[in-house]
Amino acid sequence: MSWTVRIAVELESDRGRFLRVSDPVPVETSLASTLALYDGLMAYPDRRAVRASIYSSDDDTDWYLATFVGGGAAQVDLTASTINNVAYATLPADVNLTVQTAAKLDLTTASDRDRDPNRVFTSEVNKPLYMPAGNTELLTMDDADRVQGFAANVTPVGASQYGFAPVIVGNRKTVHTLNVGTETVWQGSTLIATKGVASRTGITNANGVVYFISDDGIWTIAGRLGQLPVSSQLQDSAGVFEAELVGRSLTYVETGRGRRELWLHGGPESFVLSVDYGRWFTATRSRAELLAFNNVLYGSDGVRLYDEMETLDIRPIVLRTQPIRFDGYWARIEAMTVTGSAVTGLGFKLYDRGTEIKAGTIPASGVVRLPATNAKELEIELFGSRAGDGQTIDSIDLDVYVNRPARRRTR
Amino acid sequence: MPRRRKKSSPVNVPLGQLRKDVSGATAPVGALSVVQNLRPFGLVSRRGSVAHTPIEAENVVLPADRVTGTIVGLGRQVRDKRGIFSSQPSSSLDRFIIVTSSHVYVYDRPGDLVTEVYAFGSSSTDRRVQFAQIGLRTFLAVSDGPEASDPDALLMLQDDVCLEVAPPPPPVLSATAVSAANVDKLEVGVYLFRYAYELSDAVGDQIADPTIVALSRPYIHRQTVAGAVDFELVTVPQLGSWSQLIRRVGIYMTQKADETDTAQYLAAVPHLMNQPFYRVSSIETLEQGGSVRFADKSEKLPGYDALIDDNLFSHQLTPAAAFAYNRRLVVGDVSIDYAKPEANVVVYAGATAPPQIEAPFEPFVIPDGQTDYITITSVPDMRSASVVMAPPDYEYQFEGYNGAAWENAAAVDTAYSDVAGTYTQMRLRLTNTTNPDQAVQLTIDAANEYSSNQLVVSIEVAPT
Repeated sequence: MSWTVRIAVELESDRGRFLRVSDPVPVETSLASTLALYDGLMAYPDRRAVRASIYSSDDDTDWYLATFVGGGAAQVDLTASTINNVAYATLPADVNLTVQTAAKLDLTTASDRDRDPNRVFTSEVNKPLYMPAGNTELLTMDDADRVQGFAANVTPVGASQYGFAPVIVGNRKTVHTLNVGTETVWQGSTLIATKGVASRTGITNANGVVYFISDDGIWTIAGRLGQLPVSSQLQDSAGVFEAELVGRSLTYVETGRGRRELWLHGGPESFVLSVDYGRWFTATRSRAELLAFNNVLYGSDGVRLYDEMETLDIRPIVLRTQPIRFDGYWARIEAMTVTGSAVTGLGFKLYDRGTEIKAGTIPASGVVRLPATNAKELEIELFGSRAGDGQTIDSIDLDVYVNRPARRRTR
Repeated sequence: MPRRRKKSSPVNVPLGQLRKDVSGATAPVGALSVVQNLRPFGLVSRRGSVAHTPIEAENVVLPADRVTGTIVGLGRQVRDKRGIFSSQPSSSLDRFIIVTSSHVYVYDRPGDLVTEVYAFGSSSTDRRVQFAQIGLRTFLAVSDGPEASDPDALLMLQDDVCLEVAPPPPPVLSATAVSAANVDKLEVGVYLFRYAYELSDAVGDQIADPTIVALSRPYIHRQTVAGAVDFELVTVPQLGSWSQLIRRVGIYMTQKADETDTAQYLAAVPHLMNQPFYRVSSIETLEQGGSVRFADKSEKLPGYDALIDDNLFSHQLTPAAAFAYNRRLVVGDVSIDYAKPEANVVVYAGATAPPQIEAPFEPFVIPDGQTDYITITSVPDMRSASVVMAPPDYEYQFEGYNGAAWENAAAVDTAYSDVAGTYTQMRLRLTNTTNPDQAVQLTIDAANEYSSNQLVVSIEVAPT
């Protein structure tokens, strides 16, 4: 008959008791009629281990708790070393493998994998694989408030060098800072208690400022303790965009031509925030993954990798303003002046409350006369093809007459 | 109500502000609802303008057939030199890391060279990756599935080597007391020792103490004669890519306890467990038989470096989030797979104590023309044993047993080592053809036994 032995160690972390089981070790019973297991020292390399048990099996399927010679379950309480990360026990007697108790090792419920979603672990400097037990910080008590990602809100002075600036830890419901207090003591504090990071790739440093996606929009952390909405609820007219923020990605890219952009991507549409302007634009195409590499922006549509070097291909432009209101009154639009480089030939359409009221092209002067054009909520649309890169539309100026109620004269 | 016409007044519409979060009623003048192929342009101080952004060309840098799976992550591997794990002498120092649903690649853009460095066990387009570079190593924290899913893997990429950060199985080590000539240093007594792999963990040109991984649990060593102790690697498991990172096996030992009574030596354990371990030596040759001798007075051990044994990477940490911060690796949302207990069990025939194999073995007789078997069992780990058989003119043959091979199974009077890494047996078949009715004298030298007596010899009679 062939027997196997397993050692089970119970370990008590601050999240409960966990059972860790060794691989089965075969023992050959043909050697003798009686078998015993002997190890004068039972030890586990973690002082949180509290108990060790010896199980045996004759079918390699079900393991039952063995017994000590002289009686009693083959189970010992472990003692934690005072200075070493070890828990140990000396066995009081030999163990009969073939004399078992009824206690069966339940491998289906044995949980050997501990999950610590809201704790941060840090390594020693230059030793990424050395993570001392003391270099941890529990940020919240809420397991659902798990760590999503990290950033630092300064411009790095070298490769991943942030000086004394703390680590910003983006949890799912909250945002924290983590400081190195002394060489070994890490100090965490809550920075934002009401917002968290809604995506594992939804927090990043852009030109020294931390941006993150929360459930209610995209936010930035200015300085150490402030917060500023970049765009609360980038929500389109159908109202679906808000939900799609969860799971999307923020990537900062710095490329040639002075482009410093924060991309919101990973969904059906990509948006670009000009860091210099603090303004959002739609991207010409959506990208699943992005990377700025040697002054070139690279993007992936999922299966291919593209570079995004600009060319002189002609592509129509479309620009449409939000409705312009004139304090709620009717206005007569006398003229529209479009300034910029090479705006001549652009088409335009004017809408009032969604209805097209005028259309035409921009003349060489840039000034469009608009006789008999009245509107309460004016939308301006410009469209057409441009000849090349760098051509701009700087502004639109309107000459309007607004019909306002006359003020009553009083003595 | 009387109205009056005001004179014409200019309304400036500054451009560049895409706002989808506000309705027309609350949008500031100039906010845009649609912007296509335009990007902001000019200096910050300008109120705003947009520039035509021509469509980027469809420059496919990497066609779909160059990598397997869907691209789920893009990162960079930046090096200041090609390291010792670089298999491509002309590779760039700045390369793409491309993570797909099933693989990890490094992509050398100038050379247009795609190198597969890792394959996940399964394919998933839900994988998410966070990158953190510390020195020459880039760490990839990979999660799989929805946002709250478990972390998937922590990978470490250096040059062209990518491996999962999971501690390798520790080697098996033996400690044997020896009394060498002119060496009378290590005193008789009971010691505890541990061992671990030591990595050369200096990153870049930084000097750092080595990191230890796979630290063993403490073992008892009984120094029975004054002199020295030999530490020998009995087996080294398959280490894969770790073998390139591991520099040596470090040996750590406590000072002695004076208990020398064989029956009472366990009583010294609680005292020793609360003593510091000192790094007394290291085995540089990472192969079976690699050994080192340590000889020094116990009282001098505090002069050696003390072992700091609180590295959480003794367990397997798998984070979903990773970050490089001031040359530290910072991780969060961690799944911890605790180290497996070492089932260092000893199985023996008997009820009270493991047998001490003493030479010579009991003589026995094999009738003429018959075959008997001597079974030598190594439990549970490897050791070597010398077998000497007399008279020498017996026909003999060594066989592997239970699928395990024993080295050097062709000759007698040679050391036999179990190389299987697990509990194994060697069966010696003896056939008497020339000396009927003569006793066989079999000597088994268990000098290189493990830290406790674990060699079992038994006789089984098999049909001829």
